[in-house]
Amino acid sequence: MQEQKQNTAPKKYWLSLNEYKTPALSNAHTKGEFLELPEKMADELGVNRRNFLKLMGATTVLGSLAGCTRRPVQKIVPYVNKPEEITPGVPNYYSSADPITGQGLIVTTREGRPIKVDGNPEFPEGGKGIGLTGQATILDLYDPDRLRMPKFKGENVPWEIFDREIKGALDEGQEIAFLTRTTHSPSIKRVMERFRASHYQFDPLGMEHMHRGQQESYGRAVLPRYRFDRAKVIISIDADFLDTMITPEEFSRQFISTRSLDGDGYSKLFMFESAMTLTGMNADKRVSIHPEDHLHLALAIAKEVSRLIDRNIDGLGESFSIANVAKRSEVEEDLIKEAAQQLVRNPGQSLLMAGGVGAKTEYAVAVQNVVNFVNSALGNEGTVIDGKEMTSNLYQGSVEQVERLVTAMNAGSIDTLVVHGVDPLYDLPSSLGFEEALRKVKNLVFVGTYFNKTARKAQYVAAESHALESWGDVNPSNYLYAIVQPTISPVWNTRSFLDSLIVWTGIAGNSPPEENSYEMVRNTWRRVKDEASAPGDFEDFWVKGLHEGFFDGAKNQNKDRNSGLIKARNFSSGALKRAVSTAGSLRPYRAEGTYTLLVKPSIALRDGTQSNNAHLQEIPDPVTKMTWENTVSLSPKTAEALNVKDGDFVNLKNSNAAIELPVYVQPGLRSDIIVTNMGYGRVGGRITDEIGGSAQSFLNTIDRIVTHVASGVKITPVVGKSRALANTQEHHATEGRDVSFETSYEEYLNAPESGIVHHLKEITNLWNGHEYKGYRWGMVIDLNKCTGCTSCVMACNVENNIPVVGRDEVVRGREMHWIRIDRYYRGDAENPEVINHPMVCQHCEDAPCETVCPVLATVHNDEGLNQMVYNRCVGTRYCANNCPYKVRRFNFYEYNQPMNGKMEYPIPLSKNPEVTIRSRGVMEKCSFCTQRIEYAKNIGKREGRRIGDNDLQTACQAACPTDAIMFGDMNNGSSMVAQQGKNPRSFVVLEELGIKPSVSYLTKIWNRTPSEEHGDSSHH
Amino acid sequence: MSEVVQLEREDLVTGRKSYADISNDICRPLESFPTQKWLLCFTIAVTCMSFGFAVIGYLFWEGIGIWGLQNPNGWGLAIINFVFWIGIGHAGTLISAVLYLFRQDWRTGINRAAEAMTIFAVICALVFPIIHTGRPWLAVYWLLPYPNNMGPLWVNFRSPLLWDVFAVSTYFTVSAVFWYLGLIPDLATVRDRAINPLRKRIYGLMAMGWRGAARHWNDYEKAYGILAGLSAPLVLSVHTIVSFDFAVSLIPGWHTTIFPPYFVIGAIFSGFAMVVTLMVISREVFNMKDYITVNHMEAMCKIIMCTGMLVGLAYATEFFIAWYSGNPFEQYAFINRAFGPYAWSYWTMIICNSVIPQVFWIRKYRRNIALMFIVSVFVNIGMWFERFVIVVTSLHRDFLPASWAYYTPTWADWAITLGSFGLFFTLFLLFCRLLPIVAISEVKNVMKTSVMKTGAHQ
Repeated sequence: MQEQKQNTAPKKYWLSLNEYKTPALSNAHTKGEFLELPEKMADELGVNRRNFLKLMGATTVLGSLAGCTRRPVQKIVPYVNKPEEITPGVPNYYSSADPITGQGLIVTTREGRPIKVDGNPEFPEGGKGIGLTGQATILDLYDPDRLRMPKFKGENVPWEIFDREIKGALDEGQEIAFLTRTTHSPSIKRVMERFRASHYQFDPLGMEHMHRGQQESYGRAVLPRYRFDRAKVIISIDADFLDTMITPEEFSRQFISTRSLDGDGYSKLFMFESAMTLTGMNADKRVSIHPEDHLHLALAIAKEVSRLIDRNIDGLGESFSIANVAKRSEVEEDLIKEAAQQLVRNPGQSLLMAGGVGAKTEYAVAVQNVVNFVNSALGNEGTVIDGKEMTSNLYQGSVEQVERLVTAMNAGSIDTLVVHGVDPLYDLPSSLGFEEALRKVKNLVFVGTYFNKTARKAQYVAAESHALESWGDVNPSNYLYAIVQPTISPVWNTRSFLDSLIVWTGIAGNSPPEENSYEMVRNTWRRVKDEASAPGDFEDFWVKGLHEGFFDGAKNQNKDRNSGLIKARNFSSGALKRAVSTAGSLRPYRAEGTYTLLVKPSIALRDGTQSNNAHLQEIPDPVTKMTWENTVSLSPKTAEALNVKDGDFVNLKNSNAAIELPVYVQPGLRSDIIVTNMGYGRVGGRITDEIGGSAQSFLNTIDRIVTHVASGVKITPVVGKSRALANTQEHHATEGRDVSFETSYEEYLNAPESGIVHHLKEITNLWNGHEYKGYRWGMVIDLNKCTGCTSCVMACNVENNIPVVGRDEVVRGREMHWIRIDRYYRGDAENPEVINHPMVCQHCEDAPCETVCPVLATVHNDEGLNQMVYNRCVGTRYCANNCPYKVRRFNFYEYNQPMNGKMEYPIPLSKNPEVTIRSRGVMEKCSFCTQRIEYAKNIGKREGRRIGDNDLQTACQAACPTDAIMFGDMNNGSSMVAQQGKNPRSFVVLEELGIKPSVSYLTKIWNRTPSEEHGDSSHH
Repeated sequence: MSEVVQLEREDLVTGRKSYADISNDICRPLESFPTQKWLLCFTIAVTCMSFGFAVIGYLFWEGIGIWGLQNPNGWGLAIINFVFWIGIGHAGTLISAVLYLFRQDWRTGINRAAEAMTIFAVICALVFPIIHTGRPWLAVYWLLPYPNNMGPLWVNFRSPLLWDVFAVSTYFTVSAVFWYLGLIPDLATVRDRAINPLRKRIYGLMAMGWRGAARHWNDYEKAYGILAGLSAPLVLSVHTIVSFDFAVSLIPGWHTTIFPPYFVIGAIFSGFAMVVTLMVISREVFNMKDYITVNHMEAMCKIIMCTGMLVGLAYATEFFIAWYSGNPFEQYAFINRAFGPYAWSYWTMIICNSVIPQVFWIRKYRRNIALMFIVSVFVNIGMWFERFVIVVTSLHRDFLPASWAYYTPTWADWAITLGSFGLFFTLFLLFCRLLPIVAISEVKNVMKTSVMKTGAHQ
């Protein structure tokens, strides 16, 4: 091109001296007078017409390449010809996996951009549930605050320079240590071996107490696989398995499967808990306890169980009698007795569970031992608990490893520390002395996505790619493997941990195992194939792995993951004896005038790794409905005693730590317990920098356990400091209204329709009503399957481009979520019963919103959808006023473009192109994922058939781990929704208004005695 | 033949005025330099108005997020002010049209100002439905059924908001025409008195060639009568339709059949209170005590007391029906009004509207100008709060308790409210300076001449 320009450029003559002197000026003058032909202008530039057209074509192609696609390929090939697999407007689906949870994923991409992540429904463990953090991960990918390129000594440098500089740190002769989160990726493990380095693992939500309990009880430190689906009775002592414990989505699915009304029997969940958790909210019986009493409670149950099964256990003295423990823990005797009886009545089909992170004390190991004893004694070990075959590879880290690392660092025997995936300066309790020990380390290499506390201390900061940009693999459970497949080339100049390690092995003087992560993963997959002796060609096996997203080697070893026999292990009686002796010398937590603080992971943020994710910050906590900050939850009694209310600031202080937080009054807490969430107060992004206070300093390390329970905490109200909380639900009682119906299992068996109160016999209508000749869309939400986990809300946010409004706007009550989970308390404020009720647009047949809109911006279509026409909406908000369910959301500001009228790059890449970005002044609401309906209908049209349940899922439905949401065509008699319409448990909310909603609900069924169920009146 | 006993009626104009006196007195404010009092009032009013419009500009720039609206309170001060001002705008037409048709001669002293007040109140009201929308630049014409090229896209005739558009615009048009018609003979008077040629020309144009010929008077009286007949049903229809905005919805506390009469009565109540407020000021400032007499004021106080009690009856009826209907949502809505988080607004309303006007039972008090001014201001406040109670307390707690919330207006809400008062008083003060605030021709018409007086005694 350059040459051509010189060859073809015509000679230029000057017209006047003026032009000769200042050609630009005179040029402008002549141009204004006569319009020049574009060809001529091109000639002047030295481009003839033919070349001009060529260039224009190339620019268009390159422009479209740069503009909308970032394809992850090993070799970048220009987009001149349309790639076979990409059709504009048609989504592609790729399987992948989450490197932390090991969960199988299905990634939806549009024109080369991943826009949605869902669970892989075929994945053997967890299925389609990936929780809030999983659903929100797509927004981490497009977070503008991520590290964009490597840094050396605080300066951004290109990778070549970074890799040259890091040579000194990784050279031979340097003692290298790795500190990572649990690494179950076989490829990473394989490449790490090349470094002759020691590897320490640590998990912010550590499960070291379970490992050690297993070690002491059964001789091997494993994280067993719990099979809630086989338990008819679950007695939980602060094991919040539906919240954050190990794999909550998998547990939710299993637990809900035992609450099926088709099978025989119905499970019962007893929850003894110190905080208010989602698990407690879903329990048939919830009892408030103090974490100090975990061990005594477990021992009392153990003592009663052994009495009932006639096993004489030495050492379980009178101090563990039900009467004494009941007195000590203020739990009713009958409850402990009943818990034990229930366990004994279901041998091999019950589970005593303990060990939630949020209530971890230094006695957690002893509690595990007692629990293991009971489960072994009842034969639950080997049926409900699998500690031998499909054990978990998650949460292998422990604080013990960190202690060893700190010792080695202090001894000066570590030259280079490579930190990946964790922020030890934030995550680790300061009592470990990590920060001091770090001074003895010559080189600190940080590999991660945010410029966090540790990164700020590191000379080498290797900007890590997001999992959706990298090749990798996972091995979350024995025999189970999955490939992490990239679906986009890195948005920034980042590199995956695996790729970095491969490059660095070369630098460190070793031959890298393979040249890049792709080859590495392929070779690992080859080994997986060999190990399982899977038959067939490797290429087929590889493609199958990519396509299905996982490989379960258990089958090839004649082991069935889901129904095979599990071998029971032998319980070593010494473990129980140790527990009993521990119980004899408990450090008292309770002291007059002080409180016990629980530092609990929240369901949305967990350990806070994703705390720079605005969508996660704005998700209402399933229990407190708080967004955007961590509060300290006080019981109503404590709040009254301290004379504080919601939003008043208090100072929490004990001998180790202090923090100032706003108060949230939480029903269901003991008056000596206060609770706050961990994961706040991190640094590294504009969002996380500003939010909440870090309660990490209240964590402590006692006896190789990170304790999340801090004793001796004093509360001092900060006089005059108060602010409105960003809470999405202000009123928590149903006020005696029939908004949601529930019943007990016993009553259900007598009359399946029990619990439902009908307020309307018949609707008399002057008109004939709508006629639905083709499809008629409807939704059924089974309250009995809904745990209230809120995953649906996040899935909806991502699918429908729902804007984040920020803390201040949530305070004003303007959150935009199209689904909300209404949570009502009833009964005693000290220990209330809870019901969760998901609320979406009900798509009423005679919709009140439709009649009042003056400009017909919300109308009914012939498939039963209540449609919102954004372009026509002028924003009178009359529709929202007239909606009895209050599901309509208004764009009070330009929420989508808060940055000077522009969306910050790369956030626009995260948007779903099928869904309009709503502007200011427009109403919006749940559309039943109309874009998905239209897409499925097109498929049906092309294939000449009526689409059914398998062709279409709404985003919320796809995200629900327990299949509580069903969606489909009510005109099709065989569809799920049509079938459920005949279910006697079916009801619609506010039936008496006669507006005929298209969303119906199925009653919640508790395994409570009817008297328990109807015991109390409503309570605020 | 029995003897006809004719009772002496009190004079409608006091001070033994001649026709010339009347013209002189009423035209004086128009023909003299503004007083310092007027200038002060005008400055304050214009400042408030400008501030309000500046905030409206900010509102257009930022979005209605600057208000305190939220979920579930989709409507707030904007709609409250709209209903309030429409209510204020009721008295004028009622006084001009209905009282005219019933031949209540005492209306002549106040009808001009009351009608002007109506027009200005409706102008203030009209600001709000436009600015309260999310996209006013579209709402301003999309709410009209105009022929368009957007396919078969038309407005929704089922929506009460659309009915509002027609009802209010009709009311405004008819009121304005009616007012202007009544002004014509007086404009001619001003024209005839004018010395400045420019002034003569302007008023001359506005007087539309009025010469006071018998034919003119004949046509005028006919047209006035017809327009009065047309306006009278509008007095009922406007607020009836405004009340449909609420009554036609299904929100507890809104969905009641009592709303149309309740709103109309409330509107008359508040309209008369505003007339009293303004009349007290203008008869003081412009020295119109002989034309707007204590008798006039007393008559209005009687109406205020009467409508106030009717409004009170409506409040009681609402409670009764809530109980009698057995609808728990409705029952809760009313208990929540009286005892919920907005109880303060409810009791403000009750005290201002149902308790305070009771002082007018005593004749001495309803002839006390200072007291009636205070009472009228309280009634204005009370009626503003009535709309607040209706809009806010119904919305903030509707069917599902999970979505309940507390609405707090922001500074911007209040600034625009203040601005609407600024606009109202700016217009009213200009009116006082530019047009005769008492209908000269009508007052002359009802004045007892000495002939009539002596005749009566014969």
